[in-house]
Amino acid sequence: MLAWLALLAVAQQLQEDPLDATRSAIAEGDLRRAVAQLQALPASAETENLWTNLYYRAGAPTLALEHLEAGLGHRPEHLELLHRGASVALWLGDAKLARLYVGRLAKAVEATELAATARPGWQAAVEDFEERAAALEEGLRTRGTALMRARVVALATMVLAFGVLVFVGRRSVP
Amino acid sequence: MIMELAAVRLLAPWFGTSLVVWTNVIAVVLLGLAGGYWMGGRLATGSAPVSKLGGMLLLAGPLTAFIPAFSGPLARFFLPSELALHEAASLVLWGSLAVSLVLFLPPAALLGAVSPLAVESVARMDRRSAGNAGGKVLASGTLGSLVGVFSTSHVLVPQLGLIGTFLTASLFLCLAGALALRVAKGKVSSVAAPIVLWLAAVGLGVSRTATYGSAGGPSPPEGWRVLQRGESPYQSVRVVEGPDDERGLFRYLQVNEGFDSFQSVWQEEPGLLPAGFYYNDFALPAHWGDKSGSWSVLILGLGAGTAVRVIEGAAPPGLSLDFTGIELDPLVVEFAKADLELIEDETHRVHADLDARVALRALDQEFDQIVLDCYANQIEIPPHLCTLEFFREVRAHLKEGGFLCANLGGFGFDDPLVRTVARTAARAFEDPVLLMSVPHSRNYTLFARRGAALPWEGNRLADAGREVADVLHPRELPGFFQRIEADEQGGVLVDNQAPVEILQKRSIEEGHRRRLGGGGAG
Repeated sequence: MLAWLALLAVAQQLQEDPLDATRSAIAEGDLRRAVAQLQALPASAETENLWTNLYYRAGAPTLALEHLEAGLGHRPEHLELLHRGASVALWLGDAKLARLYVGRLAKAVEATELAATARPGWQAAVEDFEERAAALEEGLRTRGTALMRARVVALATMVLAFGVLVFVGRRSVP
Repeated sequence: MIMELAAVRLLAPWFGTSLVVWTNVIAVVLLGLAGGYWMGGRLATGSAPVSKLGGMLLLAGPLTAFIPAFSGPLARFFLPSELALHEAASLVLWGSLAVSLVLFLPPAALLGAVSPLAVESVARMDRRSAGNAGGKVLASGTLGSLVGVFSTSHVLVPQLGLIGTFLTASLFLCLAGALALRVAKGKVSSVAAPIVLWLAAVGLGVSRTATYGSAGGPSPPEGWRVLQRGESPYQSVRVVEGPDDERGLFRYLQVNEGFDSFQSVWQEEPGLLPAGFYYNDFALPAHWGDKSGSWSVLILGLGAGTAVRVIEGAAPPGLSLDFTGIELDPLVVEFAKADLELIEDETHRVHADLDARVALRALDQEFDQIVLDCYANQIEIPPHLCTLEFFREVRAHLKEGGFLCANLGGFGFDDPLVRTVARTAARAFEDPVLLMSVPHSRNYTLFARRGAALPWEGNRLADAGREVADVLHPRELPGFFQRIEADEQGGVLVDNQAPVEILQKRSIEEGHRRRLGGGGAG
């Protein structure tokens, strides 16, 4: 009986989708197994999505970005990858990239056939990203204004100082 | 000199004390002095140079008294809040230049005018030649600068603080001005005017002190509080405490911090910090070393002792630890003992007021692990602590199989600064070194080992104890570490030429470009 059960388990493992097996490894926190399985699989939007999530959760946004861009090369309207793209761009403080991904995500949500219950969630995510991208842009604008202000004051003070010197020089008795 | 030295300290809480800030302050003071010399030379050719001399000093005195009061509001005007360190480079350059020009150019110009007027006054009063009078004034002025340099660094700033320093300078200028006027007019009543002026200046200066007190550096975020704040001979130091939320209670030691960085962190329980803190990597060698008995650690750049608490809390069971910590700033140690649980006893030795390299040479001992965590001006590795010669000295202080671990800040394995320092260490150790990216941060940890293999097997890092499993877990993913060979092509840093500032600048520029370009720098 035990032998039968063992054989059954082996057979089930053999039949398991390799991606599901990788997902299981990730869920169990076995990164070593997950990496080995992912490296053995041909690159696709789904494998790149898994790589992206692994790097994102591990705290490596630039590596996550590499993989999500590769994944979008396979499937340009992949919702999860576009969602992750917007997150990574915001994490890196790249407003332009964030706008790009938020825009693509919004279009993809519109174009994709989704369950009625799923659509509001994606739309809310798009709105949230739009707000955060706007806040990031506002921060960049503030920084740009501060830089401009500092430049103008510094240059104006130097010009003023030079003017005073010329004025004093001309007025004083030689 | 008092103004020049104290000026940098005044800007430090906002802009740091990097080479850029020093350059701006010195440049502005030189510009002011040059203008003042020119102006003074012109004024000196007219009548009553002694009166004009007094007038210049009396104008410069009150202006100097007001400088601290305006520094905070002015810095806030040019520096938006919540700037990340890597975002601030251009604002540090232009912001510190603008603030320096507004604050320091007028008094510097007035003080510059003093010299030619003084030369003319001495020449006329004593009937001396211009050369003779000039020599006398220059000698007095240079001696005064000498006194100013020593008194500012060793007495005035540590004892009186920055406001007290500027008010003292102001007092001297006003007294000198009053004396000059008295000499010029020969009337006792002429003293009354400057005294009134001075009293008015002090009154106004003190009235602004409350404002300055609260603006003596950027405010911490809402919900945070400042536990301690002080001025040491080296820097502005403060301890801040975050809100006691689900993450627990955290305290940070900050020095000259205008941005989002900190020098040390404390949590209630010793041991690993949450992901993103590079200190966790310092706990790995005690596991990789596979040693029983004792484990001796030298920490260069002790700060408030974060590395000690992390290594101690995550050490393999049964290992007896022995720490020696070197910290340049005694005020940091004082604050750390008071608020960040820094221990000093027979197994936790603390040496304050010592430069790391000087201390290393003085220590006649070998260690199992040397931690290098020395930073100056928030982001700069001191050049003398990343050269070939220094790393050779470190290697000589390691036991066979001992580890060096160094904290480096950068934007990828190809970051100019990170790569050059790693290559320099590899060359000094004559063995490959390991560079690990710290998750959730822009830090890299460099590992070098004396006379033993570094802990990797194939393309994986070696396993370590369960106490540090969380530190190694994300490093199972490819791209989190790199091996730098000892014979890698490229320049290395040597004592004779260690252009760390240039590499730092390139690091920020290239890092910014890489990130915005969407490239993949782990």
